[in-house]
Amino acid sequence: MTENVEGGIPVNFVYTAGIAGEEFLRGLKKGKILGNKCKCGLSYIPPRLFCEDCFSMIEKNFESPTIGKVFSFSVANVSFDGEKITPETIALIDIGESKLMHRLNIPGEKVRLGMKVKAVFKPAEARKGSINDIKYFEAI
Amino acid sequence: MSAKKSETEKFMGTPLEKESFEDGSVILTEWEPKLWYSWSTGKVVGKFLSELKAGKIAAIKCDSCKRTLIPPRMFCEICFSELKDWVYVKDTGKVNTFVISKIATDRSPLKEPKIAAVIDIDGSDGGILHMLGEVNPDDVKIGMKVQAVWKSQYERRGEITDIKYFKPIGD
Repeated sequence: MTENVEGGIPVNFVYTAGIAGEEFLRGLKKGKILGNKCKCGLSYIPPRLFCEDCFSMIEKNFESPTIGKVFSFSVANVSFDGEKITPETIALIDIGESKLMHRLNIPGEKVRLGMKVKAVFKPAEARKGSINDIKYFEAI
Repeated sequence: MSAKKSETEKFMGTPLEKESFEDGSVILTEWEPKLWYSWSTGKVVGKFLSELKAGKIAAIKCDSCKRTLIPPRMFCEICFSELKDWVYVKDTGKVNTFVISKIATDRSPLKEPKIAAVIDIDGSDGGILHMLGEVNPDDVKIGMKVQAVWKSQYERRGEITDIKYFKPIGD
């Protein structure tokens, strides 16, 4: 007897990052991590067009260091789709003015909060203007 | 970015043209979530699908309502009797209703329009939703006689698509 029917639902999408997001992605392509800072003092990485705290338009951009400290981390054992994957360490990295979420190439059991890490970019010709232009952060 | 300056200033947005998605002027992030599913067919639909694999259309009879139901189900939705009496029906029928579709399920345009139809199966009191083929969309008529065109026995997998489509057979 036929017991199961299997299929899939195609839901492809294309996302454009908007004015501030586009600038961030173009920065990554050049090997830079860009952020911006509101006049109220709040900083954003990735940059935002408007401050989510005071709603002002943010105009002051800055280039962030690519070195930071692990602020928080988690180990993912399954992908977005729920499939088992080689464990991946995901961390929130404090890079001075603000924090950025990215991958660490360090196994979860060796990660310590506060440990110093730096961004490892893909070679320039392989960068596409994507958050994955940074391969991962590695320990220094 | 192919932005019209005045509009950008006015609305604080970036109008995108169709070309913006093709000429590389805007960075695009593409993603496709995997939405796989698997559903359990249950006893009756499971048998119906297995019979399709064998190249036959199986229906189920309700003795108290005197109806032959297709697609088959476990209980009669009118008299609630449990149904067990399987019969085979022909793979011919009549178009009950149809629609001509020019877009796919993901809204992409189709080169050739597809015709979906509910086909009342001969010798039964029900119909199945399927595709029509070997027919010009303009020539499809309600009540038109059609017959199933099957995949070869090697290609059939116990799915409704084991029938490729229904084609007109004339009067």
